Amino acid sequence: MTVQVLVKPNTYIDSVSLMSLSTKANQIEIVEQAIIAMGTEMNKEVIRNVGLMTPEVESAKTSDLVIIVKAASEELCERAFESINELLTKRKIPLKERVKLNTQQLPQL
Amino acid sequence: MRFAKSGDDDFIQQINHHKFHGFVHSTFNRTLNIQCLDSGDLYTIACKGIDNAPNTLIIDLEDFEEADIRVNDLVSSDHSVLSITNKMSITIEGIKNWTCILPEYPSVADVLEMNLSTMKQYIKLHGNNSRIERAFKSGNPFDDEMSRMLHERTQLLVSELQNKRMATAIIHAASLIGLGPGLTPAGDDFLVGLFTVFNIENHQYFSHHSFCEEVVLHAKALTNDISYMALAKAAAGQVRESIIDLMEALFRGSEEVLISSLRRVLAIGSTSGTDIALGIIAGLEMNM
Repeated sequence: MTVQVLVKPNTYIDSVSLMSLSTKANQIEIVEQAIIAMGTEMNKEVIRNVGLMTPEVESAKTSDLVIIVKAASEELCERAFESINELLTKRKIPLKERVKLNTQQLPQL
Repeated sequence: MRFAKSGDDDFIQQINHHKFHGFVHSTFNRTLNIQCLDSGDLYTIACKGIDNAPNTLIIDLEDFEEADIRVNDLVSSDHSVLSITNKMSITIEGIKNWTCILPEYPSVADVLEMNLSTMKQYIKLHGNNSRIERAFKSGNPFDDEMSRMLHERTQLLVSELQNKRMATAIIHAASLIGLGPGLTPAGDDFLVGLFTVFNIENHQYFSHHSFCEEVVLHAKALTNDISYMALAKAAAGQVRESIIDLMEALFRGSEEVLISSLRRVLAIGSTSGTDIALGIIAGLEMNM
C-alpha cells in the first residue's frame, strides 16, 4: 500500500463542502482510504491512531487542509489525486497551486 | 454600494468611531472573514438569510460569487463605509443594531424539562449524524476512530463537570479542541454549546463560567482561526442569534417554537448545528 499526502496551506473550505468532498474521495474506486481534514493536533492524533501519519502530516498547521490518500500503488494514488483535483476544481479551488505530493510506502500487511 | 441590513453593535461601533484596518482572511460562498490588523480578531460579512452573530454584518447580497473578493484584499473603514479594496463598499447607514443577550435560566424548570426531552428526541430522528452522540462503525477507520475519540472525550468531560472537578474538566475540554473533520471541528462545536449554557445567568454552572475562559486559553494553538473565534466569543457568552433563540425556546417556548428554532440550529454547517445542540443538552442536563 502507498500513502500520498497533500498539505494545502491556509485553506478553508466550508464544512458542508468538506464533508461532501471527503465522502466522494472515499467513493473513488481505486482509493483504499482518503482523509480530508484540517491539520489540528487532535486530528493528527486520529491520523496517527489509524496508522497514516507521515512527516508532512506531522508538520501541518491548524489552518492547513490535509489530504491523505491510501491506495495500492503510487500510480493509483496519483490517479486518485487527479480525481480529487477534479472535485476541488468544481469548487474553484485549484489543487495545483502550492501542491507538493509526498509519497510514503506502507509495508504490505 | 451595498447596504448592511443588521450587524453586531460592537462591530458597528468599530466602523463608526474607529478606523478599521484589516484584510480578507477567508472567503466562502455566502460569508467572508476579515482579520482586524489592530486586534487580530476575525469579523464576518454575511449575506442575507444568515443570522446575526458576534462580530458580524449582514448585507443585502445573495452571495459573493461575482464579487471577486480574494484572500489578503485590504479592508478599511471611513465615515460609516467599510471598503474591501475597490471591489465592494458597504454602508452601515440605517443598519439595525444587534446585541447578543442570552436569556436567564427559568425559575421553574417544567417547560425546560419537557422541551429538553422533545429536543433530544428530535435530534435522534433528524440530527446530522453527529460523531459525538454515539461511537459508530462506518467501516472507515478514520471516521470510526474520530467517532470513538469524540464520544469518549465528551463523556469524560461531562463526568468531570458533573463532579465539579474543574481542573481535570479543563484538560478533557482541551482534548476536544480541534477534534473533528469539519471547518469548525465537532469538539469545538460541542464546547460552543456547553459554553453557551455556562453563560446563562441563574444556571448553577454560571459561577463556573471562568472554566470557559480557561479552556479558551488552550484553544489558540489547537484549532483554526475561524473556529477559535467562535469558541472565544462563546466563552464570553457571545453566540449567534439562532442559538439565543433556541435557548429562549427551550426555557419558555411552545413545542412549535422549539422545533422551529432547533431546526435553524441543526442547519448550521454539516454536523456543526447538531454538535452545538448536543453541547447545550449536556450543559442543561447538569443542572437537573
